[in-house]
Amino acid sequence: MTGTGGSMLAVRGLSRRFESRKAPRLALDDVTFDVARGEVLGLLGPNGAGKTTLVRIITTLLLPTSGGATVAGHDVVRDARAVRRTVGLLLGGERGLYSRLTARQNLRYWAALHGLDTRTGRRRVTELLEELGLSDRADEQVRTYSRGMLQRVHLARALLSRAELLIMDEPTNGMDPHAAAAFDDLVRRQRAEGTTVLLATHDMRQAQSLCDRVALIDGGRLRAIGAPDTLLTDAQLLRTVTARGFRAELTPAVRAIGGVLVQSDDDSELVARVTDGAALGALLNALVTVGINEISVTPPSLTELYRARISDRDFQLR
Amino acid sequence: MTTYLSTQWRLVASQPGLFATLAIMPLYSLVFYTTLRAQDRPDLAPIVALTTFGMSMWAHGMFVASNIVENDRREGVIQQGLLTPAAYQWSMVIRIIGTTALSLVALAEVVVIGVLLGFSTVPESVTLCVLVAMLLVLGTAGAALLVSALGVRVQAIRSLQNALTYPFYLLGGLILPADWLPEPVHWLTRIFFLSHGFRLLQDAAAGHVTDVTSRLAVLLLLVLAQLLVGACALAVVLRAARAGRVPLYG
Ligand SMILES: Nc1ncnc2c1ncn2[C@@H]1O[C@H](COP(=O)(O)OP(=O)(O)O)[C@@H](O)[C@H]1O
Ligand SMILES: [Mg+2]
Repeated sequence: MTGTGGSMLAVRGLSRRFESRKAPRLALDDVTFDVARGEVLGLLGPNGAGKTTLVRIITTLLLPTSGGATVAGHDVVRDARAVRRTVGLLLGGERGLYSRLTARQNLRYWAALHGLDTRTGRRRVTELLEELGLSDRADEQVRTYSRGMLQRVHLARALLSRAELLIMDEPTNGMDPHAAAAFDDLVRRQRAEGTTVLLATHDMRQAQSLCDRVALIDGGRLRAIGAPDTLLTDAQLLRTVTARGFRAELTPAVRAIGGVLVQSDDDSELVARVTDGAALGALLNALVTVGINEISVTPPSLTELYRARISDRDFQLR
Repeated sequence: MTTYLSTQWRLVASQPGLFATLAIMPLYSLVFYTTLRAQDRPDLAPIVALTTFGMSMWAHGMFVASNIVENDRREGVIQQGLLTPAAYQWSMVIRIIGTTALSLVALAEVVVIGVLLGFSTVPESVTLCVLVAMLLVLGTAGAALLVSALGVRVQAIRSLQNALTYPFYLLGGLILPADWLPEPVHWLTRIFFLSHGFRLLQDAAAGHVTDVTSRLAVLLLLVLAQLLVGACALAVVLRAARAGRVPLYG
C-alpha cells in the first residue's frame, strides 16, 4: 500500500457513529493521525472521549462509519485478517479472562486461538509468565489475582503473538502506583525491542514518562498531537512558583509585579503563575529580598495542558 | 484442539452445575423403570432407556451451549475472541461438541441401570446403536451451536431454555412417535436429524433395522447439515459483532 511511508498506523478521517434510541452519538469525528514504527503514542482524553472506540476500530473489533485506518499498510476493514496478525491488544478492565482458570491455562487457550501449536504455545506462555514476573503464581486461579497481576496477564496475552503493534486501553487504570510503575517498565522493555505502542490512558504521569508523542482527544475529536515538550511549549502554559514561609501582608507587592498571577496565598505559602522569564525573575527577586528562599519553580505538565485543552465535564450531566 | 477441549473441561469441572442434566437422568430412569414394573410392561424398558437418553442429551446440549456463551460474555471473553474470530469460532465448535459428547455416558448409565433392575435394556445391535448415538450427539452439538449463535446475538439466552427443549422432544419423536404429530409439521420431522436418528436408534435397539446403509447415510447428511448451519450461524453473528450490533458485555 502506498502513502503510509514509515508509519505503522495511519488513521484517516475516521468517524464512528452509534445509533441509539434517543439520539445518535458521534463517538469519533474525523480523526486523522499517524504512528511511526517504534513509536509510543499516548491517547489522552476523558471518559467518553472515544479512545476505546478508536482502539476497537484499529484492532478490527468494530467497523468505522466513515474514513479508515491501516496497520502496517493493511486496511482495518478489508484486510482485517492481516491486521489481526499484526496487533496485540490489551483491553482495559477486570474482564477478558476465565476467572476460574489459572493464568497459565488462560494463556494457553489464547495461544491456541492465536494459532500457536500446543508445544510452541506452552513454551511461549512459560516464557511470558517468567518475563512478566508471574511464574510464582501462574498456577493459581486468576480470580485470586490483584489488579496489577491481572493486568500483567492481559499484557502477556497481548504479547503472545509477538505483535508489531501493541495497543493498550487504559492498562493501569485502578492500579496502585508501584504496580503502575512496574507496568511502565514492561512497556519500556517492549519499546526497546522495537514494538510500536498505542496507549490509551488518562494517567498523565504515565503518558509523560512513556510516550514519544501524545494525542489529546475529546468529544470524538483530535484536539492536539505532538511530543509532550512541544505541546507544552506551543501551549504557552505557565510555570508555577511555590514559596514557603510567605506572609500574607506581602501579597499586594507580589500582585503589583507584571506577569504574575497569584493563585493562592496564606501565612505559610504562596502559589503563583508566571507568564514569562521576566516575570519569573522579578518575582524571585522580590521574594529573596524579603528573606524568603524556600522557592520551587515547576514547569507546566501534561496535566495542565490537559486541563487547559479539555473542558471539565465530569460534573455536567450527559 | 486438545487445548480447547482441556480448557472446556476445566471450565465445566469448575462449575459442577453443568452436569445437572446428566446427573439427574439416572433418577428419572429409576422412576420410569419402577412404573414399568408396577404396570408389568417390561417390554417398554428399552424405549424408556432411549427416551431418557435422548432427552438428557438434548437438554444437556442446549444447556451447555447457552452456558458457554453466557459465561464467555460475563467474563468478557467474547470481545477478546473477536480478535481471532475464526479460531474463536472453531474453539466454540470443539468445546460444544466435546461437552455434548459427555451425554454418551448417560446412554451407558440408563442401559446399565435398566439391566441392574432386571430389564433387557441392552440393545440388540450394540455397534449400530453406539454409532447412531454418536451421530445424534454431533447433530445435537450442531443445534447447540445454533443456540450459542442466538445466545451471542441476544442476551439472557437461558430464559429461552424451555422453548429450546420440549418442542424439540416432540419434533424429535422422543416423547411420541414423530408421525403422530399433526400433518403440517411432518416435513419438519423429516428434515430434523433427531427424529430421523432417534427412530433409527429405537430400531437398532430392537434389532430390526432394514436399509441400514441408506438410513445411516441420510442421518449423516442431516447431522452434517445441522453442524454446518450451527457453525455458519455463529460465524455470521460474530461478524455482526464487528458492526457493533451485538451486546458483548453482560
Ligand atoms: N456500543 C456502543 N453503543 C453506543 N454508544 C457507544 C458504544 N460504545 C461507545 N459509545 C459511546 O461513544 C462515546 C465514546 O466512548 P468510548 O470510546 O468508550 O470512550 P472512552 O474510551 O474514551 O472513555 C461515548 O459517548 C460512549 O457512550
Ligand atoms: Mg475507554
